Amino acid sequence: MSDSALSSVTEAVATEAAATGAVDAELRGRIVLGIKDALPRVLGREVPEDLSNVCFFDDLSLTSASTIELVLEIEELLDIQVDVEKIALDDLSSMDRLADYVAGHLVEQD
Amino acid sequence: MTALEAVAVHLPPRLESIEDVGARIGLTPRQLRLFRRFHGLDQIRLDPDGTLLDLLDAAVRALPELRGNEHRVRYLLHARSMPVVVPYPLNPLHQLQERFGLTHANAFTVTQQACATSLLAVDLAGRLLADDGDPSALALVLAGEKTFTRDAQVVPETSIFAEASAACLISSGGTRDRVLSYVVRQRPEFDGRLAEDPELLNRYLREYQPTMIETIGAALDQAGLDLSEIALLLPHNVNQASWRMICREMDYPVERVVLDNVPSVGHSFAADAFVNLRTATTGGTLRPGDHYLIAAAGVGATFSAMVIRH
Repeated sequence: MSDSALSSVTEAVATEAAATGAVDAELRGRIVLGIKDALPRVLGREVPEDLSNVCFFDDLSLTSASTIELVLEIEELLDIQVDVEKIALDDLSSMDRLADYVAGHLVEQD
Repeated sequence: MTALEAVAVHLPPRLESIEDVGARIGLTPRQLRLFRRFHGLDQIRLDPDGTLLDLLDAAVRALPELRGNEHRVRYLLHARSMPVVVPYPLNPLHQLQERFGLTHANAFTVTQQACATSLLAVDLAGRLLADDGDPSALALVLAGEKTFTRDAQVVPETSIFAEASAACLISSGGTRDRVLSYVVRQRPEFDGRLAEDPELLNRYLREYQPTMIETIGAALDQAGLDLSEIALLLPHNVNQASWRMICREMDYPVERVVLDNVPSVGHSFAADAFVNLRTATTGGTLRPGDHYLIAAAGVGATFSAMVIRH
């Protein structure tokens, strides 16, 4: 997976994603890929291929703060900006919850 | 009943960006983004050329209510996070006693509850004064420390320390800011070096929020109050993110948490409670009769909360 493929999601696409379910699904797919790509770097080790039933806290020993670092990493990868101020601990607990949060809390970039 | 008679704060004039601090102590760009974007940190008050004595001296000088009352001060307490801060035989408290004429005071340090020690010091001062027999007796609680090592500059994934200091005059039976309750939860299972033990850090961060909320609830119960009756919550200045999450969980408006000093002062060890109280009183956000709650946490770990009537 190349950085350029991930970073092709632009602000315009992100804004459109919020308005249309179809693009939202595509964006969410890219976010999932982004999480998988960034996770080993944040953790400093490899992670299981299938993350669908993995608890980030219990199974990967991620802290809430390191999961936020993961979100910040995904922002760079996908060239998006996420409102991290509304995030709750539960949003950080799994791949699905995190992808849902990121997809649902995009903001205009500075 | 223990009362806070007056509070003074000293903010060193030097403001350093967290990026400058990070460059000095080796924080990664990703760590710095976490501190700025998520934790809401921006600038840190530091006094690189000053000593601990200078820091505490400035706080005492900023307390006009002490003038003429030096002889009434029976106890001089330093509420301290770090167990050792100056080499033997230096003792800033004894030097302060001489400088300010606090010759009737017993001077000692209160520690072992890290950044929650200032609430312990207030409670302890009140109890000592209650047993003193002289209703005019006072205690002077000081807080503030130097960021003299890497451990004294950063809490991994959580906060960056600053060097503000504070002085608080305590009485027993005063009417100004009366302490209604004080609750401490000690969790020694979190003792250790967070910087070197990721598993410990993980456990601590996960337990932090529920333990803090339980402690706040217990202090409210002890005071016979509901959270909705708390006009203002004075937090520690560790970061903004933890308070946003706690407020969401407790259903308490985050606008009523004094978070102004997180980006402009930084986490000043045990002095945060007094720094934020000063902000609340000078900003006019507390009216006579209002109840407020001070919440503190110290690594090791201690969680404490105090309810006060203004």
